[in-house]
Amino acid sequence: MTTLAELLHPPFWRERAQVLGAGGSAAPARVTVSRVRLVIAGGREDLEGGDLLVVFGTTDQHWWWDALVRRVRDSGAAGVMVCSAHEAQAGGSAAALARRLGVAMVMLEGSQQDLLEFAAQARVHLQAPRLRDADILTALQAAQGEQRPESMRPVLDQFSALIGADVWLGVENGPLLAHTEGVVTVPQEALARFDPGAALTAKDEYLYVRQPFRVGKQRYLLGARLPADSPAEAVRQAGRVVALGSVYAARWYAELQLAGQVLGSARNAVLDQAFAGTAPASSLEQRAADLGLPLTGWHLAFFLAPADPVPGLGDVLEDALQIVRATTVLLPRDGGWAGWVQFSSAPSAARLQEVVRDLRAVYRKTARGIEISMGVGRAGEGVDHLRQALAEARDAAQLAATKAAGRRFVRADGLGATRLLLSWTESAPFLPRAMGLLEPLDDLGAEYRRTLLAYLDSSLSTAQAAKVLGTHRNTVRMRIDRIREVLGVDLASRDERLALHLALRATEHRPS
Amino acid sequence: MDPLTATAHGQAVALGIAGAADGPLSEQLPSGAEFPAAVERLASLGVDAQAVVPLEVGGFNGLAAVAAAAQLSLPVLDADLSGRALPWLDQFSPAYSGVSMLPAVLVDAHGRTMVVGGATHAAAVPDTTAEAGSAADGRYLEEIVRAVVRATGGWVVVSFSVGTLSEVADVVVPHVLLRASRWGRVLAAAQSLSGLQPYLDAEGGRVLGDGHVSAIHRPGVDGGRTGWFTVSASGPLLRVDMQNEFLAVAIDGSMACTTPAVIGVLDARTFLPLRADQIRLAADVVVIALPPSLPRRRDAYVERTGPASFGLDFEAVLP
Amino acid sequence: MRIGIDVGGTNTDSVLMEGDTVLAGTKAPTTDDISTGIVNSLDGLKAERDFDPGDIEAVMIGTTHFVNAFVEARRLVKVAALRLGLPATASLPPMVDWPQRLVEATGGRSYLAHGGHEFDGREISPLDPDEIKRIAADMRTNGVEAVAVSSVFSPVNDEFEVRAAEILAEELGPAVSISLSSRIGRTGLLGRENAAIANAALSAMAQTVVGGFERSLADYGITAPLFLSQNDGTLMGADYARQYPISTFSSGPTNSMRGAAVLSGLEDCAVVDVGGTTSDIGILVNKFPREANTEVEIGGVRTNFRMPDVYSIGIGGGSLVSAEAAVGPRSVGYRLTTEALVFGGATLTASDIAVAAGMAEMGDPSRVAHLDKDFVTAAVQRIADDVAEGVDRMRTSSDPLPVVAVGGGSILLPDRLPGLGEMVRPDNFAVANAIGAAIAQIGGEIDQVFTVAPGTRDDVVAEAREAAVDRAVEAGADRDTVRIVDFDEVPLPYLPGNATRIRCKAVGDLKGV
Repeated sequence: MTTLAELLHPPFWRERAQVLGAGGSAAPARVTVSRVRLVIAGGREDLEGGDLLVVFGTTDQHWWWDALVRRVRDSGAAGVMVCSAHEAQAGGSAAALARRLGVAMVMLEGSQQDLLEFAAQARVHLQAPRLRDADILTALQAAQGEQRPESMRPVLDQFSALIGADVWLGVENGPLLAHTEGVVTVPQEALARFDPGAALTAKDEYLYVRQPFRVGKQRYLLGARLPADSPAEAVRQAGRVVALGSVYAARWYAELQLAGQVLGSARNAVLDQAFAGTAPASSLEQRAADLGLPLTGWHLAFFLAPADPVPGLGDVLEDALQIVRATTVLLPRDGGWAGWVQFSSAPSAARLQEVVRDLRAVYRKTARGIEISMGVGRAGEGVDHLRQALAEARDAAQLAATKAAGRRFVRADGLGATRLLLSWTESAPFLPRAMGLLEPLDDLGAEYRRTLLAYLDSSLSTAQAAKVLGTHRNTVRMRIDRIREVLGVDLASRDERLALHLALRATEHRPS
Repeated sequence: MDPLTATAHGQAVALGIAGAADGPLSEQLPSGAEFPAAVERLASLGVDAQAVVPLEVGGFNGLAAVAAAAQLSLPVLDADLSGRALPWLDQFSPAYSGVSMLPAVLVDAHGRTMVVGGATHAAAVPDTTAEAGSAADGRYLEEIVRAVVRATGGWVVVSFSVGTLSEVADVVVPHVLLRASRWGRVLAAAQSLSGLQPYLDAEGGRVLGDGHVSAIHRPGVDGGRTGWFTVSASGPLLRVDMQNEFLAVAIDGSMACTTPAVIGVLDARTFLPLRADQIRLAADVVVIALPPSLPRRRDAYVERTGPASFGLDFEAVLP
Repeated sequence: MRIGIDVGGTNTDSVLMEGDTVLAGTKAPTTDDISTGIVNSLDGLKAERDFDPGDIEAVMIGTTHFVNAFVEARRLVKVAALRLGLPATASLPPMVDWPQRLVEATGGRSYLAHGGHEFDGREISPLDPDEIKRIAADMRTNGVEAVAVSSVFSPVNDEFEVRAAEILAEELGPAVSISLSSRIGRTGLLGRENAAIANAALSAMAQTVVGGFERSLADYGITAPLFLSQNDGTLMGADYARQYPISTFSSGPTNSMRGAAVLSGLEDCAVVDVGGTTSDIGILVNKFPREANTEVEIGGVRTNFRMPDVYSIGIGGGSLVSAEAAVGPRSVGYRLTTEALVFGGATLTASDIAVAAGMAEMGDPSRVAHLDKDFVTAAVQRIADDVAEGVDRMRTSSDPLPVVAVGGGSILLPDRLPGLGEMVRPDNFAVANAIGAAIAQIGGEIDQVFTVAPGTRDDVVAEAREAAVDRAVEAGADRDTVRIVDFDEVPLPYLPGNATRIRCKAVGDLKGV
C-alpha cells in the first residue's frame, strides 16, 4: 500500500507540492495510490479506485475540472495532481470543491515537465513490490546529504549496496562517466543506444540492465552490471533502481549544466591538477569524469582562439561541435576554448581523417560569423599526451591566426618541419641555452615574452601581433623596441629571429 | 393570444432587440419609434402583421415586445421563439422549424431601417424540407445583426415574420409570457425561500442552493466565452457556468441542471433575479431551476439550446 | 487635529480627533438655521477639551439634510432637465418615472436636444448651439432656477454636456445653477440623469446649507478647509458639495459604520446599529461598507448610486415582547421613555427584558422583577438568535466575523452571538457618525466602457486604475496613500474590440492632514 505522502516524500517534491483539501480523508498519509495515470485536460477516462490523476494541459471546458474532482470522489480515486502553471484553471472552483469533498488535489509548483518527472518516478515507486522504493529514496537522500554531492560516485555506491551489484553511468555511445569499484570497463555495446526492454548479456558475459535519460541534448545511460546467471527478481530489482536513480542522475547533471560557468572553471581546475600531477590519479579521473571530462582513452585535442572576446562563444562552439560524430569536450582555457575528441580505443587513420574533416567543418561554420582561428593537435593516449596535445593545438591555433581570414585552421601534423623544430626545441641540450638567451626578458614581465612570440609568429607584423594579443599596435611597437634594447638583438636578421623564436617556444610552457 | 388556438388571418411578427443590454441600451435609449418602423417596413415587404411575438421572453425583450404590441394595437402571442433568453439567432425556433427568418428588418439606434434578404417572401409556410435552409438563414441573419450592432449604436431592433397565425403553433414556444409574468409576481412577493417552495413544486422546479458568491470568473475576461461563479455556504458547493445567461449548475461537481432549463440566480434578500453581469463577489444569492417551456419540436429545441449550443461539452440535464 | 460633525435631523454631534483617537465628543440639538446647532455643539466640544481653532487642520461634516429634503420634497427649486441624445432616447423623456409629487415640486420641465455619443465615443449627432439657445430662452421664460444636463454616454465623453452648460450659463446668467450628469453618476442614462435632476433641485439649498456650515466655522475662528462626507465614505470639498449636494445622500449609514470601525479598531467586521425600532446590519470590508447589489430608489426615484448594503430587522430597544417571548417587529419607538415598564409605562419592551436579565441598568428595575426567569431567558435568546441570523445573512464567509454593536439599543445584545465572533462594544458609540465623518478619506472613481484591443487588457486595466488614482489626487488625496479599494471589469458582449465596462475606485488620505 503506497500513500500519497510516500510519493511526495522526496524533498524535491515535498517542497513543491501543496495538497489542497488536505486534512481528513484527503491527508496525504491516508490517501492510498495504486496507479498513476496521465490525463489530458478535458479527457473522459473511466476512473478506478486508487488512481492518482496527473493532469496535463488546459481546456476551454472549465467545468471539466469540477467534474473531474467529483469523479475522483465518486470512483474512490486517490486524487488529482496539477502543476502551478495551470493554477489559473485548476485552482478556481475545482480547488474549492476538492476542499469541500475531501479530495486530495496536489498543486505542484513547476511546469508540465516536472509533472512528467513526478509521474515517471511515482510509477517506478508503485511498481516496487518487494524492494521498498522508500528505501531507495532514503538511500539517495543519505548519499546526497544536505547538499548535492560533488560526484555521482557516492550515489552509485548506495545503489550498488541496495542491489548487491555494480552500477555505472555513461554517455550514450560515449565514455563511461562514473562507476562503482568492481567495474573497470563497460563494453561499448552496453553504452550503445538501445530500445528499453530486456537486459543485455554482453560479450564480457555480464548482464547489463540500463535506463537511458537525457539532459539537454546529451543522452546518458545509468546501468547495473550483474552476473549473467542472476535470478529474474534481482534483474527486476536492478531495473527499478536504475529507473529511479536515473531521475536523480538527470537532475544532478541538469544542475551541473545549469551551473555552466562554474562547470567551466571546475573543469579547468581539474585539468590543471591532472596536468600538474598533484592529485592521486584515480580520484582525479573520477572527478574529471563527473564533470564530463574524460581523461582516459585516446584524444584528438583542438584549440579555438577568437581574435576578440565574443560573448556566448561557448554556446556557438558547442553547437558547431555537433558536426563531429564523436564525443567532444569543450572548456574555456588560456583565453580561448580548448577541447578534445574522445576515443575509447585507438582510432584508425581513416577515423582520424574523418574527425579532422569534421573539425575543419566546425571551424568553417564558426568562422563564417566570427574572426577565429583553430588548431588541432596530434592524436594520442593518456593524460600526459593530452597536455602536450592541447599545447600543440594552441600553438597551431596561434600560427593559424597569422594566416588569411577563412584559412586559419592548422593541424599540428601538417606543420611538418615546424613541428620537428618545435619538438627539437623541447630536447634537453637546447633548453638551458634558450633560457639563458631570454633571461633578460624576465625582468620585464610575461607579456613581453608573449609580445615577442606573437610578433615573430606573425612575421614581424605589429598589426597582426596586436590583434593576436588584443592590445594596441603602438603597445606592441613600444614593447618590441624595449625588447630589442634589453636583449641587444637585431630582429632584421633571420638567424637571430629563428634563434629567438625557438628559444621562446622551448621555454613557453615551463616555469621561468 | 394563445398561439395554440390562434385562428386569425395574417401573420405573427417576431420583435426584439439584439445587442448589449447593460451598456448601450441603458444609455442610448430607444426612441420608441423603432418597433412600429420595423413592422411598417415588413408590411411593405408583404408581411401582414396581425400579432406580435417576442423573440425571447428573457430579459428586456419579453417586455419590449409587449410594449411594441401596445404601440401597434396588435395582440401579443403568449409565446416566444426561445423559451428563455438566447444569444444566437440560429438557436431560435424558426431555425429548426423550417421557417425562414428572411426577409428581416433591422432598425438601429439612430432609427435607420435595413432589410436583410431582399426577396419578397409574403408567406413563409412551414415546410420540413426547408429546415436546413432556415437554419442557414438564422446563421446568416446572426452575422448581419452582429455586424450592424458593431457598426451602429451597440443595439439593433430585429423583426421578421414567423408565418401565418394559424400555423404559428408549430413554430413558437407557447405560454412563456404568462408563465414569466406569473413568476415575476411570485418573486416580487416572495419573503422567504420556504414561501417560494410551493411555486417551485407546482412546476417541478427546485432550489439548487443558496449562499454567497465565493469566486467569480467573468466571461470574456481571459478571452474565453464562458465564465463561472461559485456559491458556497455551509452546504454543497454550487458552480454556475455563464455567458450572457446562466447555462449550467453543478452541485459539488455533479451537473445538476443545464440549459434549456431556466436557471435563475436571485438576490437572497429581495428574491429579485440577477443578470449574469450583476453577479458580484460576496453577494448573497439563491439559485433556482425551472423546467423549460417546450415547443412542439422538443428534441430539436433541446439540441439547439442545450449546453453544446453554447460550446459546453456535456449533455443537457433538465430538472 | 480634525473636527467631525454629524448634522442630523435631531442632533448635531461633533468630535475632536487626532489620527484615529477621539479626544472629545458632544451632542447638541439641531437647530432650524443649522449654524446655531453647530456652534452649540462646538461649544460643548470646547468645554470638554479646550482647543485653539487655529490648530484645527480640517473639518468634516456629514449631513442627511439633503436626502431628507428631497424625500420630503421640501425646499426644492424649479428645475429643467436637458438631455442631449436626439434622435435617440425620445421614448423615455427625463423624469418619466418620477413620483408625481416630486415632478410637481421641481416643476418637471424637460427638453430633448441633439447630441450624445456612442459607447465608443463617436458622436450620435453634433451639438446644435442654436437649439440649446432656443431651449435656454424657453427656460428663462418659464422661470427655471436650475438645470440638469445629461448626454448619452457622457461618462465616455462629457464634451457635449460641458459645451451645453457653457451656452446655458451664458444665456441664463450665474443665478441659474447647472448640474452635469457626467460629474454625478455612472453608465445608465436614466439613473444618472435622475441624479443630476435631483442634484439641480437641491442647488439653492446647497448654497444656503453649505454657506451656513462655512459661516458657523468662520464665526468660531476656524479657518481650516471644510469637507463633506459622500455616499461611499469619502470626502468632497465645500465648493464641490455646493455643486453636488446629492453626493451626501447616503453618507449617514456609511459614516455610522465607518465610525464603528474606528471605535472598535476593526477593518473587517459586521456592524449592528440597534435603534429604537430596528437594527441595521452592515458589513465592513477593508474599513468600507459593502455596497448593495441592486439599484436603489430615493423618494421613489431610481438612481444608479451605489449604497451601503444594509439589512434591517425589526428588533430595537422599544420592540414589543409578546407573551410567547417573541420580540418585534412592532415597537413603541421614541415613546420608550414613557411606555416601557421600567419607565413606569405598561408595555413590555425589549429594554425591559434587558433590565430584567441584568444586561442594563435604567429606570426602575423593581418594575420588572416579577418577570419569569425562563421567560426572560427565552426572550434574550430570541433577540440574540434573530440578530445572529441577520448578521449571518450578511456575512460572506464562514470565518469568524467580529460584530461591533453600536446604537442606544445595543444593550439588548449578548457578549457573543451564536456562531459568530466576539461582540465588540466601543465607547463613544453615540457619536459614531461624527467620527465616521472625521476619518473619511478622499476618493476617486471611474466607471467607463473601455475598448480593449487584443493584447492590451493589462494596459487598459492599468489606465483605468491610474485614472481613478488621478481623480483621487485631484480631489485632494495624498498620492502616496492612495490605493485601489474596488475593481470590477465586465466585458460587454456583441460589441467590437472587447468593449469592457470597468469600475474602479481609489481612496487615499487627505493631503496635509
